[in-house]
Amino acid sequence: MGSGSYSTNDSGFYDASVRSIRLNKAGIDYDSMDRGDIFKQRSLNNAMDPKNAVLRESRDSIEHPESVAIIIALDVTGSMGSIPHFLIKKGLPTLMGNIIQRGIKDPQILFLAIGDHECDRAPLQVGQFESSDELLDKWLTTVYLEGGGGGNDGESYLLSWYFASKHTSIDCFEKRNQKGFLFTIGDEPTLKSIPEKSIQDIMGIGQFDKQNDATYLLDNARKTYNVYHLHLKEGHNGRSQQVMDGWKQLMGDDLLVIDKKEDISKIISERIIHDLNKKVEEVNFKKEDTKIIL
Amino acid sequence: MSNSAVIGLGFGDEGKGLVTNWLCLQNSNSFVTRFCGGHQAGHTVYKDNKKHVFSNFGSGTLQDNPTYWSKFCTIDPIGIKNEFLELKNNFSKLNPKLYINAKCPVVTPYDKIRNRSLESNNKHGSVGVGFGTTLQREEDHYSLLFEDLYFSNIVAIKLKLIRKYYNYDEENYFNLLLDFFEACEYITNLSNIQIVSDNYFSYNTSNVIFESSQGLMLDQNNGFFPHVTRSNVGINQARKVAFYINKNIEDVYYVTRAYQTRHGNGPMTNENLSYNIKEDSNETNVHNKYQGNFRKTILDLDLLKYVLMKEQSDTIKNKYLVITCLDHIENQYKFTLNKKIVECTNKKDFIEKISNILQFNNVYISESPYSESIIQII
Repeated sequence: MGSGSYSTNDSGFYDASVRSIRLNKAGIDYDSMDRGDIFKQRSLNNAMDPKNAVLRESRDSIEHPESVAIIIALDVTGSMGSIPHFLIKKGLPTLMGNIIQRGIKDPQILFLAIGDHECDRAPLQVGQFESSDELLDKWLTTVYLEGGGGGNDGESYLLSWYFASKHTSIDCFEKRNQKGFLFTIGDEPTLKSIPEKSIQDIMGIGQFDKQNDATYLLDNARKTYNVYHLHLKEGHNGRSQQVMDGWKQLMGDDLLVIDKKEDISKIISERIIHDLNKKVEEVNFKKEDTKIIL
Repeated sequence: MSNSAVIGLGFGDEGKGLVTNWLCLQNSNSFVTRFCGGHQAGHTVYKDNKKHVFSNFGSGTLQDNPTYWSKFCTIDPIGIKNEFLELKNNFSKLNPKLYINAKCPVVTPYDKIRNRSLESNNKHGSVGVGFGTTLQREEDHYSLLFEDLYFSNIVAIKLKLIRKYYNYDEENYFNLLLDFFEACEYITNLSNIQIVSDNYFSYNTSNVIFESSQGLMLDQNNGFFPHVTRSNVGINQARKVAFYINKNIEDVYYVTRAYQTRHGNGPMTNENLSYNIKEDSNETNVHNKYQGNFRKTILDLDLLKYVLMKEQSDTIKNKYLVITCLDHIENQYKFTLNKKIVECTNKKDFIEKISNILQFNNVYISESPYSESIIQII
């Protein structure tokens, strides 16, 4: 996966018109389409079923020699279903444009859709790492907007940390010691732990850890990814101070609060550029567990 | 009053117990949460001319403040039993309350033996009570958690397997095991000790004091490896526990002595400089068989700046500096910065210079082992 390039013209520069020309040819106009017409999935698509996703790979290639793995995990419960809709219309081209124009030539994005492992049928949906706009559009529109989420204490954002640490393999880190990026986006708190049984139900056969607390999963994901959470300060939950405080305790400075979903592309691309431009020593600083006994 | 954290800036022994107790004096509704380390801490608190060194209870216990032991901390049943009895014996009116998370790893006699035999060889500065060995064993899946102690036959089987894990002979440890089982039975039947889940305190409105276990220079990510503890002891770790109990930490108290101290033979700075520090007859931190000598040198602000850099976070609303043991350095008001000695004219100058360099707008000092004497200077 990860072949094709994102709306760049022949000289490799980002060109927004490339995507619109392709969409025009195919007779697609996302701007005028309703959410229901774009997101036609009425159940979990097999291709996005985590049971089929043993390992998602972000690889360097001749076409993309310096891949940067980026995972974007979207809360798709309730009103948050509007985020994929926004991304497909405007957000994604802006995001990719910003990243590529600032000199990060080979971003590879993997979409995850997050629900609620306590009450949804599809609490986790998984795309592939892709570089081409066509395939990214495809994965994004294949998401099943279950519209679930329950009246419990949050959504399963922690599933994305689990998936990133256990089911992805990324060249940027493995070959070049450059951490990937993982952004979760939503307006609710994360559930604090996930039972082994739920992970088994979601993932099918795979690796299960006895300890599936949010902090443990987050620490594991942080070994190979720069992990951020974008809290969308919209709606009842979004404006709740308690929800934001909870995220602040968990994420520390890696919590990014945004007022409106239109800011998503800007914030994500700025964060990536900021981190990649950091001094090499700083990026290579690994928070590894020490093995010494004291 | 809001939820606060008490964190040490040095190699331990800064006065975290003193400050925790002082915060409890100001708010009787607080409960103290231990968020890192475990039973290897030794935090000294004085009350009514008597002193107590806290290892298994929070340092607010003498003020009758309950303690929450989070799941990141180890527990030692024998230690809890002994400390409980000691507290009841020395402070008869006291009713120490301890809420232990069901998922706390339990230290067994085998972990202590292993720790001590390692430490006699390595001299990394361990207290020798089996903290690091317990965590290593947990990682190797030979797990024993607090909730398990309520099933004594399960404990017996698990202990057998743990003994095999360490390759120890059965005969040699009969008495130790007897003590361990007795202590387990004692603490699981004691009404002062309760087993709780993660969200037990979620809807409790009283405020929380997050008490750190070791100094930041012993943090496994900050300190001089291998002379570090197997734990994170700073604000990020405190926030993890805050997350589970739905609390928001707003105030952070960073504590340092007016000079530098450390145990064992790990590196410390300024040891070549001559410096007079009063001998304190009340000192908790004397020579320890496993930790080695207690060393003191002139305060090094470069080290403090370094750990504060590691702690830097936009999420801290108010931060305070507490300088303790000022009475120990009469007429010796100096510290080092950029490897040079900075002489101060008097105590006031000393405190002001330190707070400017470390960028604190609020500074408290302590000049006695009693929490009541802590006063705000800046």
